[in-house]
Amino acid sequence: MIFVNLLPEEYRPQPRITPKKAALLATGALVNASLLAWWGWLAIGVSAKVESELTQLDERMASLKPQVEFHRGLEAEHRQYQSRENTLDQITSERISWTRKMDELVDLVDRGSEASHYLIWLGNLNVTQLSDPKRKQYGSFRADGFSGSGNFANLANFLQDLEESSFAGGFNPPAPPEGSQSKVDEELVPSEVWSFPVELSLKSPKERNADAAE
Amino acid sequence: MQLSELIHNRIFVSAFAGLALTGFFGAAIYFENENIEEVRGQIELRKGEIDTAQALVAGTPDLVKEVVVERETDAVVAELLPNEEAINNFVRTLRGFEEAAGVRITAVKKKNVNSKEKRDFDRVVYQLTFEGDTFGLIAFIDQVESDSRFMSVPSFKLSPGSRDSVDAGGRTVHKVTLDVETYVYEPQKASEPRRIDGYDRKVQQLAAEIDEARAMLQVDSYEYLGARDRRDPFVDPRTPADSLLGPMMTLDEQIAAVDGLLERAEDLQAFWADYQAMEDFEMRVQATVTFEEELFKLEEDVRLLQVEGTIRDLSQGRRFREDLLPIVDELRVAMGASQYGQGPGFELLAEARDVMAGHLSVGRFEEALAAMAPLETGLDRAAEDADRLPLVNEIRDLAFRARTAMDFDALDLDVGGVIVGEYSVALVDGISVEEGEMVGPELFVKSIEEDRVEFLFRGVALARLITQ
Repeated sequence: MIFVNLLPEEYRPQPRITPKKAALLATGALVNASLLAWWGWLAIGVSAKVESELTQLDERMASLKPQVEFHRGLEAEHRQYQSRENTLDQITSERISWTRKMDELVDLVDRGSEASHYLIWLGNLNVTQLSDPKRKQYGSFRADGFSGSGNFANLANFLQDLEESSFAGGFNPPAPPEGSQSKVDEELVPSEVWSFPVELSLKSPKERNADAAE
Repeated sequence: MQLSELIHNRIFVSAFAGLALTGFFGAAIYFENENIEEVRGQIELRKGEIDTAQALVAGTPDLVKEVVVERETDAVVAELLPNEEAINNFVRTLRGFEEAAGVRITAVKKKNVNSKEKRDFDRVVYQLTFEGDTFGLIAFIDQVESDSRFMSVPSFKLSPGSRDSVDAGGRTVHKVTLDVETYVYEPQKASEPRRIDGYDRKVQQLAAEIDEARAMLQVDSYEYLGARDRRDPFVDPRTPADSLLGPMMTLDEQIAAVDGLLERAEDLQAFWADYQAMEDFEMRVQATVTFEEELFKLEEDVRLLQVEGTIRDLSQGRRFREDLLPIVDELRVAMGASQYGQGPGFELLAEARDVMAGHLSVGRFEEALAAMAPLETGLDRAAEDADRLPLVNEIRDLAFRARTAMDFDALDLDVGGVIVGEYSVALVDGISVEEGEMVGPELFVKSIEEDRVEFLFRGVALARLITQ
């Protein structure tokens, strides 16, 4: 048998929601409510807190900024002074006191001859001081040497005294003795003369300062 | 099912709306989280920056100190290195050096130094040519190196003059070419110096550090004491053969002679030092006699060489004058004027007198005589000198007293007792004697007291205690 409901649509009884659907709807509502709460917690709680913390840190940083700028300014000034001081150190440390060296040389030639019984004098002198660390050349002391004696051993005695003297500080050891006998001059005493080169090369400024410190 | 029907289905609508809301909330949470993470990242970054800034600022007080010290020492750098204006006056400075060193400048030339880069320190080099002896060269370099402005001599050449090229002072004139180098200090444009609060106060507080930093910047200079009678090493020191006339000594003989005299002089110096440390008077007297004899002989030998003029070699002559003669003179001054062969000297006599008096005052008569014994043979000769005669007399008087006292001690005198009163009486060798009475050869009673009897023996007052 077929029943036909002739009541208008609005008067017809509504179909009831099934428990399954109701449960689904409730779950959906619950999930959405939770998400809403989470979002609210994030937006109002966490986000506001970190924003506030960031603001505080920004303020703190802002208060430190003038001090940092002051410090940076001083650092720049300090670097400039350091640079000048280093340059000045370099300039002064490379200087050799030639007053001292020449005074010591005079002492050596004058007094050394007495102690070791040789008579030495010098000819053309050429002193140069260089600063070429790449080629390891720092200058030299070159002179013509003369020994007033027929005894060749006097050259070795003089060069040994030279090497052991304070004059030799800052120089590399001289080359082994070599020389030749000059013309005999009977009008002078002693008449025999040996000529020999006096050549010393300068050590690096660092080595020279180490020698001076000893 | 038609779409219109679906729309009208409330359940479907609710479900759709619910899903849409879920999606919306999910997206909102996602973006909110992203935002929070970003802010957290900024917080970490800011914290790092703050830590760095705080660490930086913590070092500011030390940096301030360093900068204050550097600012103050920078003035020294400016004083140490010339500026452009000082360089313009450089030639005037060189003129001053020339006069002080006693050389003659013949050329001044500024050298071109390649320095494309503009720096705080610019190198300036002048090349000078001058004439003078070696000591003039050293004095000139000394002027350069000890100037208040930093200068150095990086190179120089010397061409020795011949034996004939001497100046009015008899010095051999050499030709010297020399570079003088300095650095002009013109600080490049720097950042504006920061204002430091309480700067003056800090300068005062850091005075010690500032002084130390300034001292570090000062360049040490060598103290050059001049030629000091040394020979010029760039002059041939050989002696012309024709000047070697008269009594001749070879160079080796001259060396040996000066060596020998120097050795004797140095031995005497050591002997004199030992003598001064001697405490025993007799040893001192003996040493004095030996010393006087040796010094006298040395002086005679020195005088002989001087008179003969046999030391012709320049070096040996200088050793003779500078090394030997000062020692001999010094020893003579220390010893006093020579009285060799004229008996003991004044100083020795005075010392002997004091030693003898000291011994006598404590009753050591034998020691007093022993102190005189080494001098005894020379006393007659010393007595011939009016200056030493009073001392000789004093010594002899002390010796007489010592001998008298020793003889008195040797006398067998028994002083038994005394009665002291208006007429004092003493019992000597069992006989009652009064004051002034003679009790033996050259022996008189001088005074009588309760505990002693004083005698006059050979004119010397000596006492004996009363035996109980």
